[in-house]
Amino acid sequence: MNNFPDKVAEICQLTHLPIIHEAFGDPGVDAAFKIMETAKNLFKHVEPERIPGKIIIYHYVSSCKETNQTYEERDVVEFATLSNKTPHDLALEVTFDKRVYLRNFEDISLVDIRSKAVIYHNVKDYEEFIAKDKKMAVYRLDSSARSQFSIPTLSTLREALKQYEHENIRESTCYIFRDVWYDENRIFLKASPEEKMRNSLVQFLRNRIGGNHDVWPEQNVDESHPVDIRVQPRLSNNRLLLIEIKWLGDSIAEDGHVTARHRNVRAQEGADQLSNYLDDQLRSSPNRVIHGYYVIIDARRKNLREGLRTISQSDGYYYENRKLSFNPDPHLIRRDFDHPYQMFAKPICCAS
Amino acid sequence: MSLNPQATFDTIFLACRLQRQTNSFSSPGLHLFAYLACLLWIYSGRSVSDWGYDFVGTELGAPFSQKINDTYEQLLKRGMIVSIKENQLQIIPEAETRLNDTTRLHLNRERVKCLEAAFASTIALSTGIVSSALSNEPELSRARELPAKRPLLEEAGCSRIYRQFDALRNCLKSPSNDLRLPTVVWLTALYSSYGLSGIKS
Repeated sequence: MNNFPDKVAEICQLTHLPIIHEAFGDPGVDAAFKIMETAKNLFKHVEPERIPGKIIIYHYVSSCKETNQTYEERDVVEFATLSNKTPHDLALEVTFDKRVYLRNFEDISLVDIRSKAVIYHNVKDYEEFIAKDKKMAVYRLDSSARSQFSIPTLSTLREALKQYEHENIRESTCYIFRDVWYDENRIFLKASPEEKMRNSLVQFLRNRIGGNHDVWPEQNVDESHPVDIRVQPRLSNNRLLLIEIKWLGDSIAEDGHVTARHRNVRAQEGADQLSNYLDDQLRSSPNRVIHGYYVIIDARRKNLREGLRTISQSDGYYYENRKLSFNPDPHLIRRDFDHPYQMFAKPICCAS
Repeated sequence: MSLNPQATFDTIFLACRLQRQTNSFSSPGLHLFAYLACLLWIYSGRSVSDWGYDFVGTELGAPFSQKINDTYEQLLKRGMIVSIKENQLQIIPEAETRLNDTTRLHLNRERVKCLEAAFASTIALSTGIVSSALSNEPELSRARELPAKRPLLEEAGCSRIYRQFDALRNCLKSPSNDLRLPTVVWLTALYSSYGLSGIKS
């Protein structure tokens, strides 16, 4: 990696910790870590999107502390209680002993405290740190998380796949996945969206189960080698988890002509391919415990025709709850095949 | 079986810290953060031979220490570590009490700084991001290229890491005694230097 020094220099310019260190020295770094820990704890109990307004978390830096603020026991926050009464805006002060006090949002003036405190500021998915006269956006390393501090650590692939559907696919919140759409109403997919779908899932899995598993994208050579992602639990040499991704829906080329229409037949093909591949693997590596996971990104819409720009609620959501059926059902006839993960990606529909 | 004292200390320390954050920990996590702490030990100007135990890179490019593994298995056998679910372990509260006594010892002071900084990287990033980033460091990425178990941090391998750490020191404008700062900057640079395939982007 020849340009590593350049990369480090870039990260020093683009991330908040070096900027905070420049402003406040080591006490500033310590304050920033306490704030990040508080943000993590907060988002474990209250998802960032549930606070519609602003979130401010601040910590006075030791040498600068001149405040008339009182520290009453009754103001100490229990995050669990916040989940039931989410406020519009939220202001929290973290102290040296890591206690977190709820403050009246209207009383906090960022201009007044920025010279003596490190401040975390979050508004509508944008998060930044403020230290003295410096501001720095939080460098996002996860394209799907609403906050860099709300990335959970999950222990199993099953749990991760369920969360992937809920958090990334339904509303196309992942920036990588969002690029699979041809149009902003999410009616048609772009031609050959497979690689972007795979990359979106690889990044999601690495950031959530990567502590315990190695996650690798596969080059999809042909239909007899269909696997898209290989997941191997660490410290377990004989276990291998294989993920096959297929998409359903209509894709179109840049000039607007339909390049593929994938429906149930395609879903069945994917199940058969993965089953055959698992059989092959079992024959070639009989001592390995191999398990298949089948992910179907469902972007089907009803009554589609070339040139369509908007879609009604009834056509857009027609397939939302229509579960795919398989013959045979792979997960019922074999123990090495998980229940297929059908993930419906919602369109944006017109009001009618 | 007599256990390696440093590996025992590190195992209990990391298990307690990780558990405090997520209520449980995993055995690969112990190897991962012990290895990161060892790298920070080198960053602090200390010799890898003083760390007390060594690591190998697995065929998958993950760090593994036999001494950490021996300790983990012994603690599991003695009931100090219990398995609660797939990939989820817990350490009993008595272990933390015992740890607090040894953490304060002068001889562990520098070691604790490295372990604390390694663990704190999960606060700024996430365990998964730390793991992905670390798999791109020169030693582990080489282990992955040659899919066979090989020792890590031998002399030749260390020189590439020294060069990265020199670059890191030069870029951080003012000196810091807080190891957490260079740790997070280094891991962020490693993470964003490579694409999903592990190829430099």
